[in-house]
Amino acid sequence: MNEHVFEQIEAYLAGSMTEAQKSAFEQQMNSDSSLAEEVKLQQETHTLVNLTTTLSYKDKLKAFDKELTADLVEEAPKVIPFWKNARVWLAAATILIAVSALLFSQLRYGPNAYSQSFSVYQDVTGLRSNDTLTTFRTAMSAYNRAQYDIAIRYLNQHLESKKEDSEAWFYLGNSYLAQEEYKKGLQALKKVDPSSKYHEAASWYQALAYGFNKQEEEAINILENIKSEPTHGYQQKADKLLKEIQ
Amino acid sequence: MAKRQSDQDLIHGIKSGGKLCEEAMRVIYAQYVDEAVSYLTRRSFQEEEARDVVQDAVINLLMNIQQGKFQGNSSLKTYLFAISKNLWLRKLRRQGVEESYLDKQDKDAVDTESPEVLVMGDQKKRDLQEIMGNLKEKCLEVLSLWSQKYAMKEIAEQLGYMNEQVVRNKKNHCMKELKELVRQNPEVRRTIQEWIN
Repeated sequence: MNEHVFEQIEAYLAGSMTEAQKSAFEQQMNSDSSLAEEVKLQQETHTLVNLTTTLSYKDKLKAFDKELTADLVEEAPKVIPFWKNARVWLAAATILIAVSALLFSQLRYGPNAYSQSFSVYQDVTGLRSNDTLTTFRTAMSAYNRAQYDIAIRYLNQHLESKKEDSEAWFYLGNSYLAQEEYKKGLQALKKVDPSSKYHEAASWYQALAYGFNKQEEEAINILENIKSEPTHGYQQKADKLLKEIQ
Repeated sequence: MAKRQSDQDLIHGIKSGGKLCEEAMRVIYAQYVDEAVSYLTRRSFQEEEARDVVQDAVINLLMNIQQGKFQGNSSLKTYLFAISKNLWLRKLRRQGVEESYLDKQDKDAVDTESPEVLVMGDQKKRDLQEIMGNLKEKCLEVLSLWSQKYAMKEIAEQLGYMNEQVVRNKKNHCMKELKELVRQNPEVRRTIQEWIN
């Protein structure tokens, strides 16, 4: 099937044809069963994408529910008379430590080009089938709640038996970077197999890891490589970062 | 905690798609989850089960608004509670609770289509996810954001593409790849067709 027909079907399914175009296209479908079959198949493909997105909404709400529950735990001391409840002191101390850690981490990051380019890789699809190993699911659940220390623990556990799992190495690398453990992050990212779908993203995060670790020459080499590949998903980001650091 | 927004703002966000829709989904859930869960736990549910039903109800509400099924004749809160009640009744029916009891409870439930994918069997979910898993990560990201109605410009910004046209080409390329995978997988086609019908 040629590009033009594919795009015509996309326009028909998106409802972006004019009435005249739509009517002509439907006539064509009535007289050409192979075209009708292509439209049906393309519509099913759209449905598949929408179904999996709905599944991911459910995962997002579940993760959000956990965040809310955590918020409630932190808010609880506000309504309990604090002098009557020793747990309040523990909660207050926890919050104080968390806020101090956050401030400390921001100071350590500093306003350099690498830290401005860094944000943890988002698990956008959020899809994990039910037969995924429990350790990996638990790790990803923690990762999606930004609990990187827990994610690291479970990813390492998972990788003990699944040494070739590039996806796990990739998220382990990201978790280490989020925890500012750059050398460990780099080691994990290097384990991502070149044939893996995470390879492009892993190269980008390796460059950042080298940058954080003050190994600028290595960072620039990787960024130049990314920049030289026109189809690389991080080409624009690499180009921008190179301009900032050189 | 997300701040309170008017129904009008939330409906606008849901219809806009993309980030606004996701934000609206979170706000609705945060605003009403406690009341809705307490509403359901008073009617026999355990808390965890009730939270699960409310999550399904929020997704249902989103889909109904996007598909123009919500006419605005009630507040979002009333509508969400009616959907929650409907899903609760469906669940009780599946558990074999007597019809006479259900009829008494039925009066303000909303006749809403449930997103069947949420109650789809695990094997079918796995089949769908497995076929998507054959795509490269970038394709999954583009298609996921596109189906959440993110604008091409938003996708370009979020995923680091040069411009909207590059995203459009990428989306078409990925969609074609997925279409071929679906073509070669009659079992998945049957599952999708069952859902469409």
